[in-house]
Amino acid sequence: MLGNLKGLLVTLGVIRRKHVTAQYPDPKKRLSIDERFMGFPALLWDYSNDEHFCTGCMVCVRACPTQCMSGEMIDNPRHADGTSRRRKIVDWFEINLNRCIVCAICVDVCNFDAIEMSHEHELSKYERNGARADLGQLLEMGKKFQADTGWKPTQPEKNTGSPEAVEKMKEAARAESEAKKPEPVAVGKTEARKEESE
Amino acid sequence: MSDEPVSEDSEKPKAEAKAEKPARPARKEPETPTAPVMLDERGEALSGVLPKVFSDFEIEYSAAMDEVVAIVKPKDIPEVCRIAKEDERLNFDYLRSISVVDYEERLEVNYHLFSLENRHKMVIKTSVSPDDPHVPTATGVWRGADWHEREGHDLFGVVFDDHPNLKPLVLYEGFEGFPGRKSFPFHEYEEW
Amino acid sequence: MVQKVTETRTQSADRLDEVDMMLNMGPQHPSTHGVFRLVVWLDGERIVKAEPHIGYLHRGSEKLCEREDYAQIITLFDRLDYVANLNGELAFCMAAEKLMGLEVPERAWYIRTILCELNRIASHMLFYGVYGLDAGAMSPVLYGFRERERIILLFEAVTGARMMHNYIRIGGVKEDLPDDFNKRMATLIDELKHGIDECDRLLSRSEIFLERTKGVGTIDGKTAIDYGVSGPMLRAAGVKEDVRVSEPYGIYDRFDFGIPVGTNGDCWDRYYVRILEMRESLSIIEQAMQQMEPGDIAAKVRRIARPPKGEAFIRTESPRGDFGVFLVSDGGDKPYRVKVRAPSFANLQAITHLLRDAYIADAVVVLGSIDIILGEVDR
Repeated sequence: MLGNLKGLLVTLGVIRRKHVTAQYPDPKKRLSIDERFMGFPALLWDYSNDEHFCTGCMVCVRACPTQCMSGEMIDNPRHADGTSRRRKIVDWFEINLNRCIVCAICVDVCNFDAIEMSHEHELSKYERNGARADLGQLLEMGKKFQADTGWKPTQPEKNTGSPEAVEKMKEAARAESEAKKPEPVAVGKTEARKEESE
Repeated sequence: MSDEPVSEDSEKPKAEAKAEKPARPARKEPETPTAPVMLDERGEALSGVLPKVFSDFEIEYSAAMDEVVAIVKPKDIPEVCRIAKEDERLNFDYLRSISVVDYEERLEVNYHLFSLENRHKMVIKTSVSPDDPHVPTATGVWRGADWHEREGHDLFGVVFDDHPNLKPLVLYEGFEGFPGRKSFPFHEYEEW
Repeated sequence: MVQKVTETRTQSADRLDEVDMMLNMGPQHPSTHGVFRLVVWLDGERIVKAEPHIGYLHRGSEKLCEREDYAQIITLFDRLDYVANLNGELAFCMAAEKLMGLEVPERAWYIRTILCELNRIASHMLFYGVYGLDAGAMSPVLYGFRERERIILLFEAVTGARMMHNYIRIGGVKEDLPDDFNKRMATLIDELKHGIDECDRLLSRSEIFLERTKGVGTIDGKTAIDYGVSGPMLRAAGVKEDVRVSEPYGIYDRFDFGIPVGTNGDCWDRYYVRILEMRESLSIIEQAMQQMEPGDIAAKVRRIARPPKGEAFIRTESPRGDFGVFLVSDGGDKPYRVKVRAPSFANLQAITHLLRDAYIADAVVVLGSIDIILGEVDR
């Protein structure tokens, strides 16, 4: 009897507490999304040069444990004019979000900062095939993610498409290293090369 | 969107396999490193004791990483297991798992043992041919062997003789083939 | 095979009271914690024989491992024990590290230990909640899930996912802890301490719960070992065995913590051992937080791991018990064979023993006390 009463005291003690649950689509009571939260993968947009970060190299396609992605690359027409540093660029890309297990392996293997786990997570669809996101949809998710989080490429010198922007970056880096040390050392570049050799 | 990704998916693994195959034998045969043997004190002591305990049996001793390995003839399994459990020097009262490994030309049954009292561990191995794999059961020694053996029977087709209840465990009744074996193909996934 | 049922009696009896009634529990039964079928033969209210049927969730994970490379397999191990994901990841990564002879940096080990112990608490909290339900108490599940939610929110901040983390990597962890981790962890520890006490007060001494669980489904230590039972279930039977102590892996030898041991091996002991274990886990976390220092979080590993030829057996203590991984490598980028020694698989075998001569009403309580996760049983 005593044990039961003790248990009841616990429940009584909770009566005074404010409740923490909320009715689902209540926009005021949504949980905040953590910075590291992994939603579905999305492709990112290189604003410096107005083209895709993705070169269609298919590393993520091969590394995906569920084979949920497919895509193809083409020659970048803008590389010929000299307005882009990307020789190849993605032609079409598709992620079947029904099959995606949100493991972030694609983000790990990407060398071009082109794919990122967005904060998109509410993607219920009415059709069975509705969650196959094509390039446009993926980009939309990615742009939203970039706008929300202020995302920056992890290797800007390597992965920025615009030649002028990279020149500027290199200049800035050179100036900085010269200010620090007498002999100039391109720090970012060696790292990028290491990545590539792997 | 209908046809293209499908053909893409099904072609890719083949293309990869083709690209890999010629490179493999050249690189693999000479310089595949082997994991080192690193027996601890208990393992060393155990490998000294084992030949004395099992002097009546034809057993090969070796070591894999930090485990002592005893390779036993299939027919000796129940007796060796019984001695391993009951002999005071060994006292292997705890059967961790029974795992079958398919090496294509043979099926290897691994009994991972641990002694809660002496805190040492060993592996008993036995190999059978994949065409007619028969190993006597160890359920008489450890009751826990029951499901492990049923699973091995299910997935690899190893027949554990005298097992009291060798019915399918993880597969449904009437399943054809042995899905654990290397010869069993993976299902091709078809995008709908 | 535990107790012979006279099949002939079932078939040829012409009087109703001589017939053993066969009753199917599951596969879709709310108390089976997944898809698990238990066939019981009843003599009145007594269970004459119980026969568990598993395999409804068999996904062939072990076979799938043979065609995925090492980085991809970690995602499969997330899905074995799906309430203690990090413990599963850790076991596989340790097996690969053992083969490769990798030295994992200190800080990585501390991060792993802290998160795995948190995962243990989360898993036990889930057990606490659903075990209350199994025994007929409605409110514990709300309390258990509230505490579990706190932990899962922290996991989300660290790993980015609530359950399927893919966070522990071969050679270390994916990324360092977030900046505000220490602060959040300090509040979490306080909340959990309070929460565990509250849960304990709510259910453990309730007379109804005691009546349902005390002396029900007993197993003695010797039989438990014979069945290969491990973890809290073995400890409840009075065997002081914990992999973290008997074969310490990682940095567990640096912490001072107790192993709760039961005496009777009944359902209540199995329940209470877990409550005590949560407190011990908290103490491990506190010690680890004090000892942790900044440093590397991952060893240098090539992106495509190629462990040397050989075989490694790893033994870790998951919330359900002795979680083992047997990894055979042929030197390639994919394992030759992966065998998972799942604790629930071995623990569940003992149910034939536990349910012998029990009442049918106790079947659910006994099954709940084993704390099975079908993802791990079937693999």
